Amino acid sequence: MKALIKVGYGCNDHCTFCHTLEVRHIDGTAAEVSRKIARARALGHTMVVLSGGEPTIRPELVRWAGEVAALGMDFGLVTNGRLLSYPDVVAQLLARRLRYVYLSLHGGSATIHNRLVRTDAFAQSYGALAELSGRGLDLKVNCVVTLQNVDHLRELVDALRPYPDVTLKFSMVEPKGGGKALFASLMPRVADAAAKVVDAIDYGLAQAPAQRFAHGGFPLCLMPGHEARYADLRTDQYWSMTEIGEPDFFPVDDRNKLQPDEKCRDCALRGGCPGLYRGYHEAFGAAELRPRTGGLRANSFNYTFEAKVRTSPDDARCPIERVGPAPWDRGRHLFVANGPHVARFRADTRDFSDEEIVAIKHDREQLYLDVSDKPAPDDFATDLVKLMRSPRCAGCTAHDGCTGLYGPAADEVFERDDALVRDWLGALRGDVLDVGCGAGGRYDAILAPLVARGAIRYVGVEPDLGHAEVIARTRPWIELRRSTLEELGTVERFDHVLALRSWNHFADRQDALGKLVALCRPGGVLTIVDNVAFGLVRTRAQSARAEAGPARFEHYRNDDVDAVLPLAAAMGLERLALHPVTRTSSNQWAVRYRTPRVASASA
Amino acid sequence: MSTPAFPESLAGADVVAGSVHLLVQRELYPLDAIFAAAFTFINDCWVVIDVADEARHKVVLTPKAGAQDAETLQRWIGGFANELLSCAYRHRLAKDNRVTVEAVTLQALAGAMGPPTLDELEDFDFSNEAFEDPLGIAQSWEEKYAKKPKPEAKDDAKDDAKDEPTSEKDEDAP
Repeated sequence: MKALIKVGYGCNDHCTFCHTLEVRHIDGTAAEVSRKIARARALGHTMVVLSGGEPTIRPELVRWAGEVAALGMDFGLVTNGRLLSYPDVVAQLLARRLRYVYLSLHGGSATIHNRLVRTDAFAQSYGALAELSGRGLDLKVNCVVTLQNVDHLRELVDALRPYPDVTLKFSMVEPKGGGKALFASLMPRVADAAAKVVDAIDYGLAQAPAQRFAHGGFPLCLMPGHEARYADLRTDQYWSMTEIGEPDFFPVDDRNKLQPDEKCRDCALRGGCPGLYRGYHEAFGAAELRPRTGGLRANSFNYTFEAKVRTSPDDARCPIERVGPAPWDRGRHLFVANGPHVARFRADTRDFSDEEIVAIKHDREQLYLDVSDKPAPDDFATDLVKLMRSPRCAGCTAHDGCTGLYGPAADEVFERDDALVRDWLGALRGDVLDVGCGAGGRYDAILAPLVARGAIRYVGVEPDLGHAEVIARTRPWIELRRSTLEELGTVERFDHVLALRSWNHFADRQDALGKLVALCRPGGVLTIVDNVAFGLVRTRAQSARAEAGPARFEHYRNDDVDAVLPLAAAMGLERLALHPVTRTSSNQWAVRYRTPRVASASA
Repeated sequence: MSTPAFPESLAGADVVAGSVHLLVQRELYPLDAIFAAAFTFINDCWVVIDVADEARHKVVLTPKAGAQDAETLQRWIGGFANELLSCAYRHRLAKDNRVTVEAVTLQALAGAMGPPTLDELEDFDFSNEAFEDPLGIAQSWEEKYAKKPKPEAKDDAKDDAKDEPTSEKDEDAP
C-alpha cells in the first residue's frame, strides 16, 4: 500500500505537458515532508513514494529515504531518473529500502525524448535504467504519448528491450497544466494514439514475448487484446496522496476522467476502464469510443477486512473523526461499527467504476455483511445482514465528504421486500409465463399448490440446459420451455408474464421489454423483479474463498428500475405498482404493468 | 519461603536429570529479555534456551550443584520467572526511552568534544544532508536556463547550445 507524497513542483526537466506548469516555483519544506512520512506510517502504508515536480533534485532526498526506512516502510520514486544515473546515489537509496521507481522516458532516442522534456536529459534518464535494472526493483518506465512521439513508440520499445525487468507503460497525455495550455500542439486523437500504442505493444511482444507493457489513460475499448494491461495509481497499489500544503493524505481518485453515458452506460468494460479525460471529452466528444455491449458483468463486489480500528470507552468521538476523515476513499473504504468494535474494509474491485461504487454505497446503501461460509451467497435472507449509515453520521458537518460509518440494520429487509412478490404470486390466476424460472424453486410453495388446484397454468422458460434438466426431473408440475427469451415465439400469449430476477440477464433491455409485452394477452399483467448491484463485506478468508470459487458473471447489466420506467412509458404500459430500491430497502426492485387492452402487433 | 506452584503446561522439574524447565511465551517476553534473565543464572546453573514451538521458548536450568529435590528445583524456576519479568520490564523501558537517551547523550558528547578539527571534517560523512552532484543534475530547469546571460558572440552561442533549449523547444514553451 503506497502513499504518494509530493515534495515540491520544481523540476530539472520542463516537459511540454507538465502537469504542474503553473506551480513549478513551489517547493514543500523538509519538515512538511518528514511529517507526512510519519503520517503515512501511522495510516498503515507500507511504502512511501516521493514525487513532484522532480523529487530527486531535493538535497533532502537521501535523508527522506532514510526516514522512510527507519519507520519500517519501503521507499519509491516517481522521477525523470536523471539523478539516478549516479551509481552512488542509487547505492545510497537502495540501502534505504528503495524498492520502486516510476521513471519518465518519452522516447527511445535523444531527439524525441529531449524534444518533449525540453532539455538535454536523455542520456541521464536512459542511463539510469542501467543502474536500476537487475536490482530487484519494481521498475516502470512511463512514456506520455503526445503528437510529438506518437509515431516513434516502437523506437522506445526497442530501447528498453535490454532491460527485461522494466515495465513500459504508455500513458495518454492529460489535458492539464502544459497539456492544457498546449492542447492543440500536443493532443493526439485518442483512437489514433491507442492504435499506435497497441501496435507498439504487439511489436514488442513479437520481438520479445517476455517484455512487459502497460497502458494508462486510454479507454479499454480502444485497447483490444490488451485490456488487462491497464495500469493506474490504484493498480499500482497507491492508496492515498498528498500535495504540497495539504494538511493530510487524500485518496487517489479518477475525477479528472469520465465515462460518457451515451457511450459507456452498457459497456461491459466499464468497471475497470479509465474512460476519457474530461478535457479531451470537452474538445472531441466521445465518438471515438467503441463500447463492448453484450458482455457479462459482476453484480457484486467485495469489501475485504483491512484492520481493526482502536476505540476507547473514554473517547466519545466518531472513530473516523479520531483517525482523520481525509485519507479514506469515499467509496472504496468502509468503516463498520458493531457494538464497541469498529473495523475498516476496502474494495479493490475493478469490476465497478468509482462512480458506481459510490452510488451503491452512499446513494442506495446496498452493503451487506456476509455471514455465510459460501463462495457466493444464494439465500440472501439468511446469508446477508444489511448495513446502513450509522445514525451517528446524521448532522455531522463532514457527512457528504466522509467515507462514513456503517452498522447492521435491524430489519429483515430481504424477507420484508420479497413478501410483496409472494403476495403478487399468490394472487395469480390464469395462464402464467415465468421467463427465466431457474432451478432454485424459490416460490414453489406458492406456485405448485396453485397449479395443483387448477388456479394457474404455469409455463417456465429456462435457457440454461443444466437448470432445465433439474427442473424437468424435480418439478414435473412446470410446463417447461428450454429457450431464451429472444428465441421464444409469441404465438402463445399469457395472462401473466413474470421476469423474476431475469431482467438483467436479457442482452438488450428494449428488445426484452417489447418481447415480454408481446407475450402478454391484451390487458395482461407483466411483473418484473430484479436486483441492483451490491457490496459484500467480508473477512480476508471469505474474499479469498469467493475469488477462488466457481461463481461466474451472469448479468449483462445491473439495472435499477429507473432503466425500465422510460421504456415502459414509451410503450404505453399502465403502471400498477412500483417498489424501487431505497437506502432502507433490500437491493430488490419490483414493478408491475398492465399491457394495453387493445391487441398490438407482436414484437 | 513456600515453593512456587507452576502449572504443568508452563514448567516442570526432572529430578532424575536434576533440571527444571520453563516455557516462555514469545509474545510476552522478547528474546533479549530471556537472554538477560538467563545471564544472571549462569554462575549457578547450566542454562539452555531452545525453541519449544511457534509461540514459545523453552528455558532449561540444571543447577551446577548436582541432584536436588523437586521443591528446590521449582524454586530455581520461580527465581528465573521473576528475573525474566524484571528484565522484560527494563527492556521495555529502555526501548521507550531510547530516542531520548540517544539525543541527550549525543548532545552531551558533542558539547564535550568541541568543534571538529579540519582533519576530522575531511572524513565526515555528509551523505545524509545531500548527495554528490558533479554534473549539476539536481538543479531546476529554471535555475539552469533562466540565470544564464544571453550569449553575445556567435562562438559563445555555439558553446552554450548543448545546455540550452533549442529554438524549437522555446516555441513550444507556454
